[in-house]
Amino acid sequence: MKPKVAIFDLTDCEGCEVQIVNSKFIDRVLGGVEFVHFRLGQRVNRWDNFDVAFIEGAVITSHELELVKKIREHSKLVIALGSCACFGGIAAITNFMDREEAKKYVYGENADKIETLYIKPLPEIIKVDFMIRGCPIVPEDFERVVSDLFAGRIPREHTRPVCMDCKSKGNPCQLLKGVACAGPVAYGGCGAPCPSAGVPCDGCRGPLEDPQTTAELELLKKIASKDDIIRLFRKFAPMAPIFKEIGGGKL
Amino acid sequence: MGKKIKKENLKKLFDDISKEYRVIAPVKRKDDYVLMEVKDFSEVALDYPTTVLPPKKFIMPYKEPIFALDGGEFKEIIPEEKIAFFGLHMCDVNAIGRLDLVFWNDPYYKARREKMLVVGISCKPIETCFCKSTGANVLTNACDLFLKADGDSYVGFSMTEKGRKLLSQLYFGPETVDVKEVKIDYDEKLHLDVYAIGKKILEDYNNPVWEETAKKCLACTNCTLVCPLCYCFDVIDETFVVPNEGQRVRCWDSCLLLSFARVAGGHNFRKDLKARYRNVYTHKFKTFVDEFGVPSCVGCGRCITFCPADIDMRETLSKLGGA
Repeated sequence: MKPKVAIFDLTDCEGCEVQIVNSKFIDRVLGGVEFVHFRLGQRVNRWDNFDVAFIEGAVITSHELELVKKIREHSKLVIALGSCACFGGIAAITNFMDREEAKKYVYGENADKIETLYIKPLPEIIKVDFMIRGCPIVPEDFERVVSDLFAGRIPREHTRPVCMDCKSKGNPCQLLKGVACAGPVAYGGCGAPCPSAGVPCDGCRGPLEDPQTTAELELLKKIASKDDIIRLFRKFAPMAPIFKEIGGGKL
Repeated sequence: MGKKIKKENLKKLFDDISKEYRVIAPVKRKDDYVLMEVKDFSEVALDYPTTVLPPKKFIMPYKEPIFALDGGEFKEIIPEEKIAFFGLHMCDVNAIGRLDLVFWNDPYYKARREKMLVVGISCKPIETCFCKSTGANVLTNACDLFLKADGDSYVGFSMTEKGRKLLSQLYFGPETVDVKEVKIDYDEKLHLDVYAIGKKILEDYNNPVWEETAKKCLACTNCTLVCPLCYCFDVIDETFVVPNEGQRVRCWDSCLLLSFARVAGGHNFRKDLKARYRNVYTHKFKTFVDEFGVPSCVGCGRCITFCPADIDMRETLSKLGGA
């Protein structure tokens, strides 16, 4: 019997699910598993006990809070899909603001009808077995995790900074150009698409293991304002360890 | 003995080489120079300070499949491409020579290297150069043909049979030049006795310089990636979703990463960045010298040029030497 897989999305842009559909091996994935719940990808969905559930997006409403708990109860493995699930994502920038003011700014007179919670990363709400990071994820990471699960292996973490993806391509260094870049402390494996396109790394995949944060901040302070540094680390993985402190102003 | 070649005839030499090889040469980008595949001689930068990545980018690529698993069958992947480097500086040429010491019996390396042609060219040493200190400023037979600038022309020196073949072509000579030794000579900003310093690394293992420099270091790995002699690699098995298809790849690694010296069971021999940073130097200037007689550094200066944290290997070495 094929493993039963579900992909759920919470508050997000669905970009990570699009990346899954973009995978050049999607036919192999479809051949190997049964998607019993995948709202974006198929018309007919049902609840069942899942072998693996991927959860994309941030938990912002009490409905979503209940939903993720239900998914956990129904799943052998839960994998956080993308930086919204892993680290709160863009939506979690509001964690650093006055929530009521932010609501008024976005929804105007309808603000009262909107429910928005303080955004916690998924692993702080339910047990998460693995995280596929990124905003959005890269299809290769999804393929790697699925391959590893099929082969009965524990998925392997990336242990390299974004700088390694970047410099191995021969890109000019953003930091040497005087541009604030999170590359040295950022979890790599993405292929460094941002610096390859001439813009700095925003650390969307969160921090690398053993990041040299002190040295990085010393360097950034020489080339960027405190506000710019805070914005850099608050952007895509605001609730990630270390980034959370920097984003909160601890420089 | 060298033979003269006029600058305008370099195109003929290039075209000759292009017929047989995939030519890799320095090319100007917006603000820097890179080694890349070149089809037309006009793209080649003959005069350049240094390239971002060294020749190892093509000799042992960042991620190289070494065997494939295809429908349950294993297939070794031995590279078949014929590469010619056109216009490498003396440091990079000698870096290839020092890589040969390590990898000559490696089937993947050897397959590329045996079919390879290396054409070197004169350089104008820049502020970060210290090839004299590492003994990499002298022409060796890692180079097939070396083009030494001489006014408006070049003098070609052949070091191998492949080089001699090219040198016998009509675009060289008839003028000959007698030179005993071809080398790059200049005043280094800081001359270092790297052999003496290398010996001191183990004797003075807890020198404060490691702690001081590790504090500045981002562990971004840029220095090891741009180093023409940092060859450490990781081996990764990739499966492509289905269990009977995949490949084993060899991928550049860096000893500056926490994962580098972590072994099965989780023990890590170099937990602190200080120990990892020191390891770069221990390997380059002590253990490599013990094993092969030369340092695994050619003084190309890339690690200095491309360090975002402004760390200068020469300063670290000279502090260690007690200068």
